[in-house]
Formats: sequence, C-alpha cells, structure tokens
Amino acid sequence: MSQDSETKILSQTFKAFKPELGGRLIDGQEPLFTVKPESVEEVSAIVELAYTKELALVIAGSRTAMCMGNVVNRPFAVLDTANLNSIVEYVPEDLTITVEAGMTLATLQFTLAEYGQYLPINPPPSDEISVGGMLVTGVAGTWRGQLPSARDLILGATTVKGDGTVVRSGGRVVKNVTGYDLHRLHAGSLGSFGVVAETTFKVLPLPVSSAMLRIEPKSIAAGVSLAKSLLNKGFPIRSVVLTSPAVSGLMLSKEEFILFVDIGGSDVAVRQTITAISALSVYPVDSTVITIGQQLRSIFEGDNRIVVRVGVPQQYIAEIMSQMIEMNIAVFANIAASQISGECFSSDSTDMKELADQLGSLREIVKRYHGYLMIENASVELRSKIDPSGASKLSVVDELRRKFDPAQIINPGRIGDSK
Amino acid sequence: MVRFFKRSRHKPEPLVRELIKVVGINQVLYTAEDLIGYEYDATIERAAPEVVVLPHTTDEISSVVKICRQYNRPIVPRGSGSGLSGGSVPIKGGVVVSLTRMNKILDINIENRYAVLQPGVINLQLQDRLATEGFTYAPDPSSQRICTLGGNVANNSGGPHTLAHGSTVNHILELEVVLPNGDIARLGSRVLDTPGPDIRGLFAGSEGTLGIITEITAQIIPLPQSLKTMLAVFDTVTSASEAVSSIIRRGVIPVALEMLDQEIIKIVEPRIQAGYPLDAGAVLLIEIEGIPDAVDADSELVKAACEASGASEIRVATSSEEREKLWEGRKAAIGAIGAAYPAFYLLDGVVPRTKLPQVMEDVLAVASSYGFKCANMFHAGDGNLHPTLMFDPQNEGVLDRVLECAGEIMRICVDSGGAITGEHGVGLEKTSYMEWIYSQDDLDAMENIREAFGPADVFNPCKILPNGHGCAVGHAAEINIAMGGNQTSADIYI
Ligand SMILES: Cc1cc2nc3c(=O)[nH]c(=O)nc-3n(C[C@H](O)[C@H](O)[C@H](O)COP(=O)(O)OP(=O)(O)OC[C@H]3O[C@@H](n4cnc5c(N)ncnc54)[C@H](O)[C@@H]3O)c2cc1C
Repeated sequence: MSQDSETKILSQTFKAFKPELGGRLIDGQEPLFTVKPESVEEVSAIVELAYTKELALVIAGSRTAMCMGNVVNRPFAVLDTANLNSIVEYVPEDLTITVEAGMTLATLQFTLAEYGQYLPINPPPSDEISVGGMLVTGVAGTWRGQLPSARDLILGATTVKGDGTVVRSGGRVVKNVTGYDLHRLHAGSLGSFGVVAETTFKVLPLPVSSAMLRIEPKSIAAGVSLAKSLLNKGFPIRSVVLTSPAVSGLMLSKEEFILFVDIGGSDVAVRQTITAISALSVYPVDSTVITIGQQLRSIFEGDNRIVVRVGVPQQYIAEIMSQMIEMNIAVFANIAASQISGECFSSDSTDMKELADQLGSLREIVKRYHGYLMIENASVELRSKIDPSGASKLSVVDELRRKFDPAQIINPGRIGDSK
Repeated sequence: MVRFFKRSRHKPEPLVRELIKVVGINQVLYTAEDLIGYEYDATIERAAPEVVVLPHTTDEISSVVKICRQYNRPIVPRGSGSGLSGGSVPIKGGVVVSLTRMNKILDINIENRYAVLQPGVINLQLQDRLATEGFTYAPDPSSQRICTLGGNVANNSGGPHTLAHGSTVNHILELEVVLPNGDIARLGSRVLDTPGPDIRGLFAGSEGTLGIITEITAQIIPLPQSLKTMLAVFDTVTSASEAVSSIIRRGVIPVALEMLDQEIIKIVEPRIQAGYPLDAGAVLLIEIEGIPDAVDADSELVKAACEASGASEIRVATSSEEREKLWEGRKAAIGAIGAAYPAFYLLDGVVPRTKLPQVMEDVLAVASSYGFKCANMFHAGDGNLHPTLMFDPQNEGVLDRVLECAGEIMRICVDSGGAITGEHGVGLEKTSYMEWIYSQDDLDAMENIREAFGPADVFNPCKILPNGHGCAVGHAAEINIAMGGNQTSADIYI
C-alpha cells in the first residue's frame, strides 16, 4: 500500500473529528492530517485513539513558537487547539479566569481589559500566542522579573495525558496547596507531558496609568548599573530594558545603547516615579516614547530567525551582553529578569556548524555563572546541531514522561535527547 | 496515639551504627527520651520515629538516604515541626531527618538579588538579616519566628503578604535536593525561567514526599519606600467581607488584607492589647506599600471602599510601634487562643473571595450547630480561611464531634468552589478529603508524580495522597484514643 493511502486510512479512523489531510509544515515535515477538537472531551478521545494507533501528535496552538525544542522525530498528525478558545469561567472580583488553552493571549487580554484587568505577561513574539503555548514554552517577555510569568500565575489546569486520560490539578482559587501542582510540570515542558486543554490564571488590575522613559547611557556598564539602581528603589517599574545599538537601530533608527523604563501604576505613582528617575539619572530622560513592547517583540518574529535567550545573574549581564554583541547578535537585556534575548544574524552562507559551536561555547560560559542559554527559535538545521534547550538532564524528567505519555506520542522528541 | 516501633523487630542496631558512621555520634538520636520531641508537629497526630538524624551536609544526607533504602526504612524530612497538617509526623516510624543543623545563610547576594540558604534557616532570621541591607524575602508565614525555609518550600507556605507577592514557590529560583535513590539534583538555576519543565515548581509544595531539600536559592526584593498599615472596624463579618471585594474592585491590591472576627478579637485584645475595639463585629488589617504619594492615594481608595461598606472607624498606624502592635494581634492570635482555651482545632480552607460572606455565615452556623465557639483570623484577601474551633478535651467524644464539624466546614469550602488547604498542606490530616476535590484519574496522575521520583514509601509515606499502601484510612478513631490521657495545658489540634 502506498504511504498516501495508508495516511488516508489512518485519517479515516479519526473521521469523527473531521481530519483535514496535510497541514502547515512543522520542522519541514508535512503532517499526516490535522484535527481541531472543540472540547476537552474531544481532545481526550483523539489522544486515546492516537495512543491505540501509536500515532504521534504534534500539538499546535497559534504556531508562534513551533521552532522551539528538538526537531520532531517521527511522522505525526497535528492536534490544533484553535477551536479550544472559550472562556470557561471568569469572576473579575476573584481575580481568576479559566479559559481553554487555544485562546490567544490577545483575546484573553481583551476580555480582561473590559473589567480593568490583565494577565501581566507580554511574551515574544506577540499576543497572538495561545495561552497553552505560553505556558508550555515558558516564554515571558519584558515585564518578567518585575511581574510574574505564566509559571507563577497558573492556578490550575485540565490536561490530557498521552493515553487520553483527563487530569485536573489545582483549582480556581488564588491560593491553593491541595495536592501536587501538576500544572506547574507543564510550564516549560514544550508539551511533553500531554495536552494542556484548560488553564486557570490569577489576573491583576490594569494599571490606571503607564509611561515609557528613554535614557541613553554611554555604555553597557553604565546602562546596567543605572537600571539596577532604579530597580532597587522599589518604584512601580514594570520593566527596564537595555537595547544594543543594533536593536535600537531597528526600532528607532538610532544606533545607541538605550534604556527603556516601563512604569505602570496609579496616576500619582507614575508621575512621582518619572520625577524621581529624572532626578536620579545622570543622562537626559525622555518621556515621549509611547510603547516599545510590541516593536521589541516583533523584531524576533519569523520561523527561520535564530533567537536565543540567556539567563545569567545580574553581575554578568554587561559582560555577556558585550560578548553577544561581538558575536554579531542583536540583543536586548531585561535587567529585572536578568535575561538577555538576541537574534543571531544569519544568511544562506552562514556556517551553521560554526554558529552552533559559538553558541555552545557561550552556553558553557553562562553555565559557569549559574545561568543558561536556550535557543528559542531556529531552523531545523541549527536545532539539529545544538541542543536547543540546554536544560540539565534529570532522570526524573524521563520517568515523568514515561508516566504521562507512555507511548511517547505527544510532541515526540521535543525535549530530552533528540535521538 | 503514640506508636512505638519495637527495636527488636527491625534490628535497629546495625542501622543506627551505620548512620553514626556517616554523621557522627552526636547527630543520631535513638533512645526513647531523645525521640519524644520528634513524634509530633503542631497537630494532634503522633508517632515515634525509630531514629532521628541531624546531618550537617548534603553529602551526609545522600548517604543517610542510601542507608535507609538499604535497611528499607521510610524517611521523614523535618524542619521545625511547626507544620499544621501532620506533615513531619513519622506515621510509619523509620528515620526522621531533621534539617535544623543545616541552618547557615550561605550567601546574601544583593547584587544579584538572591540569597543562598541551608534549609534549616529560620524564616524571620533571613528577613531580619536582609532588612539590614534594605531588602526582604517576601513570604512571611505567621509562624516565621520558628519555621524553617525548607519547611516553607516543602509546604509552599503562604502568609499575610501572599496577596500581593504570591506563595513561597514564586520566590524560589533553585533547589538542591536529595532524591529517593540518594542522588543529589539541582532544580532551576540562579536565574528565572530555567529551560525545561518546571520541576522546581513541582517540588515546592510536595511536603517532603519527593525528596529532601538541602539548599535553597531564594529571590530577594528591596524593602518598599513607604508602608501604611490600617485598621478598619466593622459591625459584621459580612460587611468586612464586602469591603474586601470593594477594595479589589477599585483596582487596589494591598500587600496584606487580613480579617479578625468578634470571637478572636475578644480573645486577642485582653491579652495582647493590639488596639482592636472589643465591641467590633470584625476588623480588617490592611497594609499598602509602594512609593509615598502612591501609598497615600491608594489608602484613600481603601478608606473609601471601607466606608462604603459601613466601616465605623478607620485607623492608620502613625508609628512603627503602632504598626507592630496591630500586627502582633494578628500574628500572636493562635497563641492567645491557646492561653484562653484548653484546646482548639484550627482549619485551613480556601474559597473564591466573592463567596466569603456566605461561606463565613455557613461556617459559623455549622460550628454553632455543634455547640462549638469558632474564632476566625484569616487571609481575607486570598479567601483563605482559618476557622478555629475551641473545645474542652475532657468532654467525652468531643474530638469526634470536632472532626465531624471540621469535615462539614471543609465541605462548605469545597462546595463553594474552593479547596481543602490554602497554605498548611494536606499532610496526614486531609488525605481523606482529597477525593472531594480530585477524581481517581487526577489522584492517579499525582501518584505517577510520586512514582517518577522513586518508590512511594521511601519519603514521608501516607502523606498527601489517600489510600497509600499500608496507611490508615481516616484518623478520627485514633485521635479519640490519643485523647484518653489527661490534657492539662492547652493543646493545639490544628
Ligand atoms: C502558630 C502557627 C502559625 C502558622 N502560620 C502559618 C501561615 O501563616 N502560613 C502558612 O503557610 N503556614 C503557617 N503555619 C504552618 C507552618 O508553620 C508552615 O507549614 C511551615 O512552613 C512549616 O515549617 P517547619 O520548618 O516547621 O516544617 P515542618 O513542620 O517540620 O515540616 C513541614 C513539612 O515539610 C517537610 N519538610 C520540612 N523540611 C523539609 C526539607 N528540608 N526537605 C523536604 N521536606 C521538608 C516535612 O516533611 C513536612 O511534610 C503556622 C504554624 C503555626 C504553629
């Protein structure tokens, strides 16, 4: 039998879920077919069927982060969460919201904003990311550090194990220690422990007022040191971001180091903070910038871009940032989170082996400083030459995978040894 | 009930000898007198361990774990034993590993905003040390004078300031742990958002069932520029609860929002003179922090919310002494109950904040239907209740009724969409309520977590999950037996 007809027969098995043959390429591979379940029950039924057929499933949300993790190592169908997009429960006064995992962050924020609330997360590359995707990729954004991330704000989840079993953990209250926090296991997991179908988050009131300040320090060291002194003063700052000349150039056509300070709070808080920072800074403070978040994030958008994130204790930020600039990486540092994000410029003639080696050496240095380097987005070629996550190997992670996805069918190969 | 484990049955001598070889003679306790202090935590459950080990290093712990595996003994990690769910009670005997001698602050790294700590460091000791540098560590359980950071991480403890700052897990960067096979692992890193699944997050709150925490890297934050503590007085718990919602509705998240009801005010005020009006139906203790002008503006919003909900008086602490007094009333409330009543049973439930007024009414009605006085001091902003039933243990059958009443109160929390513990943990005490919250599939998945770390009976058996192998089902009957003896001083049945 030809492969095509085998695929057709297999997809027929799923006909109750209206499979569409093929689908958008993932890691350069065409899916056998794509299904879009509309409820947790459907997710469970699809996964159970896939389990019995030993069919691998790649879970796709908004596909903003499909080039993360190891390359998928088996033929697969796609379970797309786009139709899992409803609000399950929202009680503004309880500061909690439960939504299906395919809902985009943008839709979630829109709903919350009507009640003067938000989820204080602005992950790259955009709010089009699905909330489930945001949890499992662990991407955070410029507010991270001063504000919590998905792994902090997650209160509970409904997930589907690799054999179709539906599992709930946590709850819909803001504080809860009833049993193991299974939902935290999914944070940063790249979906390796099953499908996240529903999530409950703690939300916060939207700041009434916000402002963005722009300061041009003379050097990286001066920028980092000013940023740290501002952060240590307890101002209502949401982020302090230092952009390298390359990034500043892309954003504002100005090739300088720029420190962007995002302030959010009550009117008086914002005003008082602007005044205080202007008095503290030895460099002029410009408060006419409106927003940078979206611009900063979209710089790194696109499947073949090579985007890395380094986390390193603050004392090494300036050193590592300089090294990355020398490596021709366009970088910005989120000083509060102690993280540096950057895009490695590449072209068709870039030697991927060489780049992988360079990133590998940088990883060794940051590891010595108790930090990490992860590749958040890259081509199949680069991700095959260097372990994208750089996570330390823990045998308990393999054990957990065996328990939660016994046939290893969910996002096969994404984490752990890529072989 | 104290369960003694006959030495002869387990042939402990070689075990003790091996342990002494690893940690030294002064770090191993094995005589009945020495073990008494390790039979209980702050709950009623008691059970005697066979041996207590007080190691000084992670390597020692790793060896101790390997020896215990070899001799097939369960291991129970223990901090200060201030836990409120029986978490550190060695219900199946075995070896208690006390972390109290690993109590060094290894590094206060202001530049990188973290502190590296041994698990036996006392919570307040860290806060005091950081305060001298203008920094703090946010999680502040009311027991912070005695509890260890290892215990805090193991229970994912909260405190009054959880409302704004989150629970312990939100402040932990990295853990060094000893796993059931004796391996030493590091979870997380010195920076936020370490790549890979968040095993650090999973480990926090695992109540000593997955391994022993041997080192903690915690985030530290600058102390606020300005702080305002207020006391708002109400006629009823319902109007105070409404004020809580009204404050949140106005977009203000105070750092703390605590409630004390009439019953507890009557107990606390005469003993502590915190300044709570004796005729109040309820008071709210509200704290706001930030930059000075913003704190002023927010406190105006809070005042308006309280007034709109019928507050009869709103007082702002004008000095740090006054602030401390107001807090003393809240933090020493449990001790005050102990001084006033021969015994009490403190519960920990959590409900959606909007359900607070109804839940509080129902809780008081249930307590009074059993004839118990019920005092309440709790984290109202988080919907985290601590109904406390006061009783005389000499009354026959009273403990059964206390537990039955407590069960009904827990049920009210669950039925309102809440859960059976907001910060004290499931421990031994609440395993039988787990089925009210979770399906068998959910519990099986939790069992999977345990198994992935190692055999379920290695660390802290019979905790968190119901129906553990060889574990008692429920404990009401046992408690009755335990109460057979004379109770002279106040007992906390928490
Ligand atoms: C008066 C009073 C007030 C309290 N107020 C609060 C409060 O506001 N908020 C709150 O959350 N709790 C509160 N508690 C409960 C208790 O203090 C906390 O749960 C605390 O974190 C326990 O710390 P401990 O060192 O006493 O731990 P223990 O009681 O010794 O142990 C608690 C649990 O942690 C495990 N454990 C301890 N150390 C380790 C380690 N190093 N590695 C692995 N597991 C370990 C034990 O096995 C056990 O399961 C209060 C208790 C009292 C008595």
